[in-house]
Amino acid sequence: GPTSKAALPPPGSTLAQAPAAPNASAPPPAAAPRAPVQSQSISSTAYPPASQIRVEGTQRIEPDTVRSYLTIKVGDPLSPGEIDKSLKGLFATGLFADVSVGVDGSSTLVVRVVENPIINRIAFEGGKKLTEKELLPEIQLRPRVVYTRTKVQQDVSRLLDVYRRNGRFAATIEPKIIELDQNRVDLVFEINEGEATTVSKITFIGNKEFSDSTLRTELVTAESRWYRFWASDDSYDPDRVAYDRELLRRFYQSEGYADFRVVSSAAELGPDRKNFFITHVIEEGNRYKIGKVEVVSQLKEFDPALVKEYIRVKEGDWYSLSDSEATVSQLSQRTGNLGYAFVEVDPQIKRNAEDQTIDITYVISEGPKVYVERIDIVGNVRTLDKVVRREFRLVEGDAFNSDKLRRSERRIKDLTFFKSVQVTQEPGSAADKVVLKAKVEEQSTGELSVGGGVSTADGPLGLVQVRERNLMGRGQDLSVSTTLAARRTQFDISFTEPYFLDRPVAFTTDLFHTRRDLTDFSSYNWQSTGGSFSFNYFITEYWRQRLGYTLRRDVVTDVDSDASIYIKDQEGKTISSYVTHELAYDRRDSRISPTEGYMVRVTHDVAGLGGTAKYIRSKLRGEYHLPLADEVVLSLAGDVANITGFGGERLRINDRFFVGGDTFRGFSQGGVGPRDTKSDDALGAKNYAVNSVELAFPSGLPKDLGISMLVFHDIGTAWGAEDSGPDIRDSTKLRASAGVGFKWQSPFGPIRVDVGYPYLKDEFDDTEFFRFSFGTKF
Amino acid sequence: CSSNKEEDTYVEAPVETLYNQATDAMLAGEYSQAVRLFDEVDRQHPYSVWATKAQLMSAYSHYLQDQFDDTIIAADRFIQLHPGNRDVAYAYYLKAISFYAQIADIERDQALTDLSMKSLEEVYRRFPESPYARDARVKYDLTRDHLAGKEMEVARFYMRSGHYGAALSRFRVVVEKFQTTSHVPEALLRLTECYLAIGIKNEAQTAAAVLGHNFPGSRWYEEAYSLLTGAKLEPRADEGSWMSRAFNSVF
Repeated sequence: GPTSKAALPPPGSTLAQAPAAPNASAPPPAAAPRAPVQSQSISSTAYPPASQIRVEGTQRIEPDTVRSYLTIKVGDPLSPGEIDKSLKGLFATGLFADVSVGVDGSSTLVVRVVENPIINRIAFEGGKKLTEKELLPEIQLRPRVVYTRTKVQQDVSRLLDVYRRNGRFAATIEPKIIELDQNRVDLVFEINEGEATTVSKITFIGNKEFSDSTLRTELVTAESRWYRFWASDDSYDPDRVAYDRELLRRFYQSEGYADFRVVSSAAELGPDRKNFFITHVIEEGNRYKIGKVEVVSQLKEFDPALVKEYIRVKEGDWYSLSDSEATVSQLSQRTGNLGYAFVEVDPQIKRNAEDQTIDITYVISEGPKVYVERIDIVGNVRTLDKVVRREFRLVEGDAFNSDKLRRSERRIKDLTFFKSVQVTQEPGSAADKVVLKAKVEEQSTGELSVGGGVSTADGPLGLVQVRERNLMGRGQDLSVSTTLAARRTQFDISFTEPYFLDRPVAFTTDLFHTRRDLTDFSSYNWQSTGGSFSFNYFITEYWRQRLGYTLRRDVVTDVDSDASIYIKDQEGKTISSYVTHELAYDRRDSRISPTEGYMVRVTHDVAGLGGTAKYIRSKLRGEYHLPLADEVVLSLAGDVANITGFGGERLRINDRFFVGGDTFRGFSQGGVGPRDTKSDDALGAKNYAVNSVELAFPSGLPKDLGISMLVFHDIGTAWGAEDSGPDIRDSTKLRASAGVGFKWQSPFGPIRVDVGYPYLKDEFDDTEFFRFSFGTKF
Repeated sequence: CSSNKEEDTYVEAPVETLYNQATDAMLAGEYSQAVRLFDEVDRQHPYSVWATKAQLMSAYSHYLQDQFDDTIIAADRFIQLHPGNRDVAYAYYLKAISFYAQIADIERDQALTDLSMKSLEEVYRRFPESPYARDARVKYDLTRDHLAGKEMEVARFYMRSGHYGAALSRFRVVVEKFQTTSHVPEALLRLTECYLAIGIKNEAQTAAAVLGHNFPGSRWYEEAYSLLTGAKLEPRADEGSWMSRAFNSVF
């Protein structure tokens, strides 16, 4: 589109317009006489007009400058009110240490000033943790600026703030002045930094249902620990403690404790001024179940039954603030969809003390008739306007809706492109119009991670990733990563545009090259190089669909001389060209570590649009997570898959399923399924079905160590060999394993250990008792 | 931008020596050295007439090396200390063009465009006789054009995502409040498009008619005309439309 950027001249094109530098050998130019300002005396003439204004005591500042700050001009009446105003005006400039204004004779106004000194130099003494480079930008005063005591006091308190933000509450600062000639001063801030103050203990008083350690994990402030030497969340910050109170309230209210309140939160500095002890006194109150739930409409001719199905709270469930808020959101959205533009939904709560239930009545009423006039985005010096604007659930001209505004703000924050996001409402050009203003502050969105680890599957590994989450401020994600491991080499470039052609469809494309050493279980090396692209979008809130295409070249090489003949004949390359369709219904509370909800996903790959591989591959996965108690989660998962070749092409070994390892514990990768017993190589299956049940529970060790335990049971089978021969064993016999494991979020990276015993197996299966993985990022 | 090293080389010198060294450094293109020396004049001899000059020259030397924030701070200091000085117009001008040089493209924050527009306006209104008035006026018009461009960008975004109502009101802002800018013909074409998209035919016809009347022969008009003929309509001004009223002075 047309922009006027090109019209900007380069800076410096005005060189000729600088005032000519005077040559010091010539006499200094005399100040041009200033035209006397004519002002008419309009007010009463009870006071004599000023015949002249005499300025005394100026050294550096021109008398004319002093006169320009006066409200009285020559010819104006010398009224005491005006004289007082002038006096105040002069003080307000901050240029003078003292000012007096008087009348000499009958009509001469005399202004006597004592100029404030000028700062010659500023120095910081005694600071070690923070350098002058970090401190100087925080203060207002500068060399050559007029010195005033107020400004010095302000700067001292600013500097103390900086030290507090760095966790040094014991710091003291003393400003010292060294007087120089020509009314100049040197300003020295004498700093005693004191010791770093950290939070050594967070305690709770009044908690009966939840342990101190459970509650501590809900907070952003953490106790300091020797092994958390990279962390900074253990320094004391009053704002953070205030936020903690809110988090506690949300936590309890979402667990049914509707009467919960934080009685007080006190932070005490220990006698050595090094440690803070934070105590939250809380009142849990009763735990409520939901009683009657009703929707009442105050809108004309609106039947609340129309939106009843969108209620997210159920009678008999524990009361939850977050569910109730989700209901408000849904009701206001659905009512809006039915044509009622101005809607407010107010949840009215009634507590029943005798049976400890809460009745909720959602009152749908007409909201204020206000329209969004404009949406302005400011502070986005790097990010494009539209990247923020498209997250707004409101567009200009819409009926104002506070729920949509709240969701808009959350979406902008969820981008994580900004250090801070503030969405404010300002009055518009008319009483029924409002201007929404999103004020953002940019932050760095680039990441470089280097990591290392070791795992049973790949051996020792190292990885490097460079990622930019907001590429050139366009909201696009670009990442380049490489992994080098004993049995794996991987190189990936991936690019995502979250709004393809400004529509809410994520477009992802990537290029990859992978090399894996599979000699341990199948006696060959595998190389895959290719690229793919896909479109991913939400059909509704929970339904997600993905359409993609992949072109890949696979090579089977370095087949061992004693390998199975069915693997030897697989040596060589294949070109696969396939389309993918995936449909998922996801009601889990989190994609990364779900604790509640379920998910169903169906994936189909169809290969054969060119290339040498021809097959249809289908996968179905279901998951169900149920929280049984505090930190105890039961998870069920099931997978079923099939691959069928067509067009007379043989199924290549790299397209078949190798079940075991992470997918079937107690067995090694490819340990379940068809096998050439002569060479003991896994050949890959055409079908598999695995069900796993897992119970995760706390280890009993201090919770901040981040160790959780799990017991599991896996059952299933993998069958269907592509070839047949005397040495090939293949069976649909059920296999099962049971075991225990633990996950540790160690300060060096997540560690996972599983020990599984296969109690049901076929004689040719390859088992693996112990499985270990460790990875980290710096 | 004074660092420790410079503080250490702090030597007392007569005012003329310092000022001449500073001027020489500036003319030789050593701008950071010039800034340092001009600031030294001001620091060592705050009551000399040269100190006043040096403050302004320091601001200018900052500007020459694209240190716009420092230029603005220095110019503001000069304005505060010497509001009556005969060179104060230049200090205002320097401040305005420093804002101007930092204007971001229309897809990003326009806070600096606003600031430069206000400060450029201050220059040509308060000092109409100064040599800077003309340049300030020209740049002021360019900044307005830029702000109109921002309105266009937001409007186009809404149009692309199918929010024609939101797009309409932004294009309307361009036509009503930025009528002298280069974006008006395109805005009128987009108005034709948006009105057609939501089925308000007479307004679409009016937008095209106003476009044809004011910018005949422009490619925007050609496009608007073919859009209308595609919908079996022709440009026709509806006198009751807001666009006819907005362009009444032009008709």
